[in-house]
Amino acid sequence: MSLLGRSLRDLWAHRFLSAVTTFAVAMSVLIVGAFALFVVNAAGIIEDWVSGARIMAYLAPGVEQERILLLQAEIGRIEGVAEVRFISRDTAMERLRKGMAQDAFLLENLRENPLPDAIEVSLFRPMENWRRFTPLARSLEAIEEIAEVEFGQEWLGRFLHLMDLFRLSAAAMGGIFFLAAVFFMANTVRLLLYARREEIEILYLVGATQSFIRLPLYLQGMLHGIIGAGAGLGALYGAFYLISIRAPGVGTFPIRFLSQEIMGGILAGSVLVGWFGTYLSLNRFHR
Amino acid sequence: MTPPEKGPEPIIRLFHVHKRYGAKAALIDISIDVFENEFIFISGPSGAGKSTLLKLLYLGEPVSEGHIVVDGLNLSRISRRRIPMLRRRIGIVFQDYKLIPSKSVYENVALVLEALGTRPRLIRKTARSLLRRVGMEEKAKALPPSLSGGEQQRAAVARALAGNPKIILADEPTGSLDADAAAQIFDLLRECHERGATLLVATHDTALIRRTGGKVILLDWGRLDVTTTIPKLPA
Repeated sequence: MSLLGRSLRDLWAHRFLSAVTTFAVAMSVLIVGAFALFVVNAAGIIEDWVSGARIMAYLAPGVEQERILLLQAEIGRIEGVAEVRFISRDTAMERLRKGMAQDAFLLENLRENPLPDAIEVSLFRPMENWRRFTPLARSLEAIEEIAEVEFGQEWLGRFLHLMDLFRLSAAAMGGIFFLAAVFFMANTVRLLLYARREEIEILYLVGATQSFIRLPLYLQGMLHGIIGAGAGLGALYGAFYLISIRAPGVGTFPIRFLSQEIMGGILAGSVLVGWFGTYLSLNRFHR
Repeated sequence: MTPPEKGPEPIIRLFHVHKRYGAKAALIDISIDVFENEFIFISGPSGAGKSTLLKLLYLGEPVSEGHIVVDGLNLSRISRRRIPMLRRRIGIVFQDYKLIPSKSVYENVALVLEALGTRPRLIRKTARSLLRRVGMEEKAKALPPSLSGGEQQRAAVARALAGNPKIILADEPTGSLDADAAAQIFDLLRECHERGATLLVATHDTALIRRTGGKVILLDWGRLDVTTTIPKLPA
C-alpha cells in the first residue's frame, strides 16, 4: 500500500482523534483568518481614504498666471509628485457650493469670493509615500507666493499608525495561534502515538525502519493541517458571505475576502503546524 | 562447543556476554556459537535468563558487557539506523504473540511485508501463502482477539516467516497453549528448520524437548549450566 494509502487508512482507524485534531486546526485557522480578514478590510478602507489625500497650497493674493504656471512646473518636478493642478478661486467656490448642497444659499450673501487660488498636489502611492507629505508641505511653504499649506497631516498619521498597529496585532495573533495550534497538534499526535504504541513497538521488532513508521505520521499531520485549513477557511467564507450580503461595503470601499496569497499562506502555515506538531511529538515519543 | 558438520561458520556468536539490570545480573559470562540450520532449545527455570538471551539477539535489550555477532553484524557496534537490517534477518515468535489487535490476521502478516518494501501484488500472494502454510487462510480476516491462543500463535508464526528470515527466535512459543495447539506450533517450527532456518527456542517445557530431541542450552540463574544433545524419544 502506498504511503498516502497507509496514512489515510490510519487516519480512518483513529478517526475520533483525527477529527479532534482537525477541528483544533480549523478553529485556529478560523480565528487567525477572521483577524486577517478584519485587517485586510481595515487596511483597504484606510488605503481608500489615504489614496484621496492631497496637499493644498493656497496662493497669496495677486500671483500672476505666468508665475502660477512656472510654480506648477517646479512642483511637478519634485520626486514623488504625481499630479499638480491649479484650482482657481472660482472653481473652489463652485466646489464649495456643490459641497454645501442645500446650505449653499448661505454663500449668496457674500459680497466677494473669499477663497484663494490654490495648487492641488497629489503624490504617487500615498500609502507608501505618506512620510513625504510633511517635507513636501514644508518646501511648498518656503515658496514666497504660497501663503498656506494644508494636508490633514494629523489624521493621516493617526490612520497610518492605526494600520501599523493592526498589522502588528495580526502578526502577534498569527504567531500566538500558530504556537497554540502546534502545541495542540503535538499533544493529539502524542495521544495517537500512545494509542498505537503497541503497534509501533511491534513494527520496530519486525524490522520496520524509522521512515516506514514516521513518514505516514508526518503525512497525517500535514493532512490534518490541509483539511483543518480548508474547513476553517470554508467556515470563514460562509460567515463572510452572510455578512457581506447585509453590509456590502464601507463608503466606496467594497469589503472583500482574503486574497489567494493570504489563503495560501494560511494553508502553508497549517501544513507547517501539522508537520512541526508531529515532529515535536515523535521526538518526545522516541526519546 | 563442537561445530556440527553442516556449516563451519557460526551464524550467531556470543562472547563473554553479560546482561545486568541495575545491580541484578540476568546473564553472566555467556559464550555460545550457533551454526546455520541448527535447532537449539534454550531451557532452564523461570528467571534463568532465557528470554533475556533472545532479546539480546534482536537488540530488544543492549548487552552490558561482551559481544554478540548475528549473521555478520556485530551488535555492540551496530548503529540505530541498521537495527532494522538485523531484525529483518530474524523472525521472532513471542509467547504473548504480539499481534496488532486492531488489524486482521492478514494485515498483521502483510504489514511486515510492507515494512520490508515488498511490492503490493507480491504482498497479497506471499501473505496468503504464509497463512495457508500455517493453516490460517480461512481466518485471514479475523481480528486477533477473536482467535484462540493456538490460532494467534500460528498467525504470529506466519508473521515471523514473512521476511523469509535466516534465523527464527521463539520465546516460549507454546507457553500458554494446550498440548494439541503446542504440537501444531512445534510442527510449524520444525518445518521452518527443515526449510533451512536456524532456530533458537526458549522453553521450560522439558516434556516438549524430550519428545522432540535436539541440542539444549541449559541456563541457571543467568549462567550457562550445560550444553547437551537430547535424543528424540521414540514415538
